[in-house]
Amino acid sequence: MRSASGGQITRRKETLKPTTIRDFSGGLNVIDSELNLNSRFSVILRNMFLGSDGSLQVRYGTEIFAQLGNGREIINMSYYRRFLIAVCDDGTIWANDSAGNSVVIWDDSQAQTLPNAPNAWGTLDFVTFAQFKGFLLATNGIDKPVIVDENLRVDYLNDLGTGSNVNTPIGRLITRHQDYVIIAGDPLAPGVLHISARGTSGTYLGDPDPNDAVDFDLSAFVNEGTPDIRAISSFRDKLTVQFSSTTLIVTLGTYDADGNHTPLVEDTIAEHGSLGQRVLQDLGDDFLGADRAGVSAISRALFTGSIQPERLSQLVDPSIQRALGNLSELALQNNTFAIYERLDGIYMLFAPTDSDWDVAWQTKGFAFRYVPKLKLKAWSEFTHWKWRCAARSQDGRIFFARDDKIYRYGSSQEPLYADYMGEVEEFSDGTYFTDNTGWTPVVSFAQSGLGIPFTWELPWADFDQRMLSKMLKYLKLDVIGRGRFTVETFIDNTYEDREFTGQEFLDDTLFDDGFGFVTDDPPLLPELSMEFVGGDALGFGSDFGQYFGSGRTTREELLYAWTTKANLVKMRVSGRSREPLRFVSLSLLYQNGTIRR
Amino acid sequence: MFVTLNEIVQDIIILLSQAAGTGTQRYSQPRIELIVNNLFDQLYARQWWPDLMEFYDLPLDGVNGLVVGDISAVKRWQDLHGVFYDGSDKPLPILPMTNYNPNSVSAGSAMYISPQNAVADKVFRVWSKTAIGNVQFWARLHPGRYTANQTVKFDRTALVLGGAWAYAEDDGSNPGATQKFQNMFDSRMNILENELKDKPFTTRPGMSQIPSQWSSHNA
Repeated sequence: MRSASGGQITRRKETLKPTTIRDFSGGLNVIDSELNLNSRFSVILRNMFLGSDGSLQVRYGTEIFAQLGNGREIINMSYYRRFLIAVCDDGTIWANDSAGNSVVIWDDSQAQTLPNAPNAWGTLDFVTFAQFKGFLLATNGIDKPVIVDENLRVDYLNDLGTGSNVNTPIGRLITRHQDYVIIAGDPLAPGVLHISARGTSGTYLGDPDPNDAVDFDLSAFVNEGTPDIRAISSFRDKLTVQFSSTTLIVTLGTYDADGNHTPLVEDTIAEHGSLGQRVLQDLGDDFLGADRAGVSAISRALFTGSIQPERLSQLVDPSIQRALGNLSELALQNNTFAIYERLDGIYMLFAPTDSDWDVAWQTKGFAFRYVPKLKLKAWSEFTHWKWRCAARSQDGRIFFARDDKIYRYGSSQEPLYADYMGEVEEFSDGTYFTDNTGWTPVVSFAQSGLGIPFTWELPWADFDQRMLSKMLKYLKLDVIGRGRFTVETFIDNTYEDREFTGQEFLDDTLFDDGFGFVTDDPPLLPELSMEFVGGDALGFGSDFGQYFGSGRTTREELLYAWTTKANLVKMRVSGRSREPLRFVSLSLLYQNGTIRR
Repeated sequence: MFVTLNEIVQDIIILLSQAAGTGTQRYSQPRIELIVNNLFDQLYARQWWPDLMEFYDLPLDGVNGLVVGDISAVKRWQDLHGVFYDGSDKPLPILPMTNYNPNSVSAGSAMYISPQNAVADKVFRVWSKTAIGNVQFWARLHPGRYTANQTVKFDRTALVLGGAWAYAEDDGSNPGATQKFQNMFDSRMNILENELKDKPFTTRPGMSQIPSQWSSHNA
């Protein structure tokens, strides 16, 4: 009798090959063809960033910090002496303490206590700040600038000798450089720097002596674009003055033989300008900003000391340019802004999706993890937010504002894993409104907040054997955290559902021609799809009420079958998490096949 | 003891070092279920496994040579062990298909059996078709494709080892483990088949009871 299996000993050999992706340092790359990209780059990296340990981490969430309660829109805010100073669109200025208590410090009633009982600011759509000698200065391009002291008393910025602000210029932009205050963006002289007298903030050209204030016209130095100053900022010992596509490096503090202040234009950097004042961030060694072409840095050369520019956003320029391309000049200047998250080293640039602020459904964020000493330069996108402005506190906490509310952004020291915690809740099925708002009021802080949707997609991979088919066998992930996510595999350039005719109406019907609405998110066609949970997730029973069963935990060292045959393979991870989640590595076991697909 | 298909599949998953749990392995579980079903089909036909055998005693219809009654569980001609005509100890032979006209069979007498396809769920026909009376036969019953919660009437260990071998062979990993599964599967099948022989059986089938008293006949 023959044995059941045939009984023969077959010559076998090990043909299973492992491959592991654990280097994600490339970040988002939308410029190179994804058929040629290395696996350390991602073609979609949404609401995630490169962590300090090299893992890909879901971004932090936010919690409600303060609400002014005035029903207005916060236009901009700044951190000043343990307070967040917020300016609203009605011209009022509010101070928010560390407990989130808000008090108005500047309105008509406050202003009319001043000599001559002036009115306070009127309606506005733009504000910039500067700090000089312990005072906070603010200007809006419509009204005279104001000054806030350490007791949160607000006054119009004036010449201390006369008490008058008749010569204080009106400008959209204000900054401090060395011992001077500079105001620019004067609607009557858009190419002029109004430089204060040395050591003063309120003494300008025309005020009585002693006064070395000067107005410096830079329009002659601009060869391209409009000579309207878009941004001014101090970088090390230089004043940077940005136009739409040119940057001037100016040195202050030089005087002629007659004692007149004679600023010098030391350098002109063409093809590097700025969208506006609010996109500039000083990182210390580097100075980051953004123009229509993308994000660039200015740094000081090591040996020569000269200022040199560097484009940092080449890998994501198409995405940034697409986000900025639809915006009007005014929207670019007023509504784009940036903030530098110092604790994780992330420069975040935000741009609304529409020039009309009320129509825009989000401010699309481009996050740049930039730590040059560690060679960390990785882009990603932060979405599902709509912020008007941001500020950073002395200890590095980031605050965002929208409407009349201020939110604290989580950090590695004080993490938050859902958005708008303390303010809104998800529905019981874990979803929320399509405009990224949730249900109010909240029952408990821990259960509040909206899950953060994230997506990470790798380029097409051929495992260095382009012509051979591959048999995928098993999948293994190393994931820290407790969140749930879905892993999908696409094969052989099959990505979108090409039979998709468009989005249907709510009653599932289409137009008479058989097509539906155009959508930015057509359905995808993965070959494989499976849901997992992070390796720190608790087992069945511990999460009772939230999850049924423990899910496919990634701490499991046993194998998960992941079987398909393909020449090209693309991996995608997505989900919506309210728990910590960090992706450390992704491994596949596969066999090489033949050329016959 | 027989267990469900799902239990067999989970045993295979564990042997293959995959994460266990119903529904956990979205892509290997359906494949392993198919492997087990295919393996059962192979092994089912290998022996007259007692657990799959059933005895029938049914009348003939006297017109078409077909039995009257439900034998739909008998799926194949090859599953008939032997068909006996009423009272006879000798099984009916298969009707020759060459050199013999079936209509030559004497009408009313049950002489042969043959496969038939004219009527569904009846795998054989008695010749001549007009024979009446009962026929008795043993048949091996195939349950169809097993689903997850159905009990598989075959040795669990053999199916687990054979399924693990079949899956591991395609993996291309650890050739020693694959060989091990194959060897253990062969060994298990040898045991099962040897067990079939390890029962008392008569060497003279059809022998009547040993007489205990004499009787006489008129000449």
